[in-house]
Amino acid sequence: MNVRRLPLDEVEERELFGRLPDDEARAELVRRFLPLAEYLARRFNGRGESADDLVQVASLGLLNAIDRFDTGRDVQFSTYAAVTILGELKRHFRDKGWSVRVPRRLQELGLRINSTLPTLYQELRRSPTIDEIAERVGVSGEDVLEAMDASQAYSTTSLDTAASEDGAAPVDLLGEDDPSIAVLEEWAAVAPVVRRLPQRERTVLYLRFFRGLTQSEIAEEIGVSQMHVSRILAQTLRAIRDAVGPGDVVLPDLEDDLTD
Amino acid sequence: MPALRDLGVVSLAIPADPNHVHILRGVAASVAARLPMSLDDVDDLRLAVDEAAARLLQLPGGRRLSIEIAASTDGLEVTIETDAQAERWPGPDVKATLPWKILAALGDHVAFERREGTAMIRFRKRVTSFEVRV
Repeated sequence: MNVRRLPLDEVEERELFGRLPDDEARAELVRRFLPLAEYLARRFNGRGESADDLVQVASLGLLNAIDRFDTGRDVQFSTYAAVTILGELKRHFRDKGWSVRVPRRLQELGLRINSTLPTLYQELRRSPTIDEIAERVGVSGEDVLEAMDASQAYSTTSLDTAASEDGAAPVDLLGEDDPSIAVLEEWAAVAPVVRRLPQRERTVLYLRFFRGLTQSEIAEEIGVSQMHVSRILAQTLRAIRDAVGPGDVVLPDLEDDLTD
Repeated sequence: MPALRDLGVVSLAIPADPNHVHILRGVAASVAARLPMSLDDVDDLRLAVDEAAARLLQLPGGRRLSIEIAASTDGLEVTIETDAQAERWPGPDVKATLPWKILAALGDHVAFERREGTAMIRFRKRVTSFEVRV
């Protein structure tokens, strides 16, 4: 086997890959290649998804690439990552059927609303009402409701896709401690799917149901749009329901003080 | 505080079919939008309707699923009901079940009830949008 000289970056990368599944090494790889994910995500702008959401999808592709990369093969990681990220972005559009089902007018309105929300939230220091959003965007309240509905019109993800398709955002990987796991154990005992949820989904569940944060507060906390939080909650609750099945299962009585 | 004003009752029945639940969600959101209810609250309301409807649809034998929304300046009182067979529902531990916990986080005054031939889930969603959160 011929030993070729590797540029310094590549040497470091190999070292980082060698340390996997170490969280720090993973976070460092994410940090290095996030610009690539962002760059590729931008290529899908203007297709009815917010830039934030696209970066999330691209980041998921990056995470998958990091986990699946085989350093034994004679392929540069950046090449492999680019292919994986593009695949994830394309699959996102194909799976969601977004551009097919949601009329362009509503997609655009959804984006406009989405980009208005943070400003309104800042100004009012609370979640705006439908009328306030409508007035700011210059449409009727009915239009706002319709666009909100459309933004939720993503295909309902099944259990497995919920767990594998929508990965953790890089920001989650960098977080130090994750109290959500211990607290959510109560739910996980009756719905094991909770354990398999991606970090971001778990965090959203935890913040909404155990910390009592509003959707807007969660959006600020984890750095995604309110609409995205709303979508994550709807899909995650649905996945949990599907997993639990019919009939009521009584939750185990865990330490209540964990929740405060 | 302005006096409580009754804004009427909206009710609608659909076939007991998960594919129609979005209609109930939409109706609830539309009624909520008439109040100064925050986007967060409207979204919570949708999730709550979804959760309650899904729970009721799991009961066997239901043909209809209906919603009744009583609106006032104070908020909404939502009742979702089905004509399903539910002799043993809700059980004594209902408050320790996942649907209950989820609904209790999304709304107030949650109640799971069974009456002659029907099973119902009720909850309230109060108008909170004008309380400034600090």
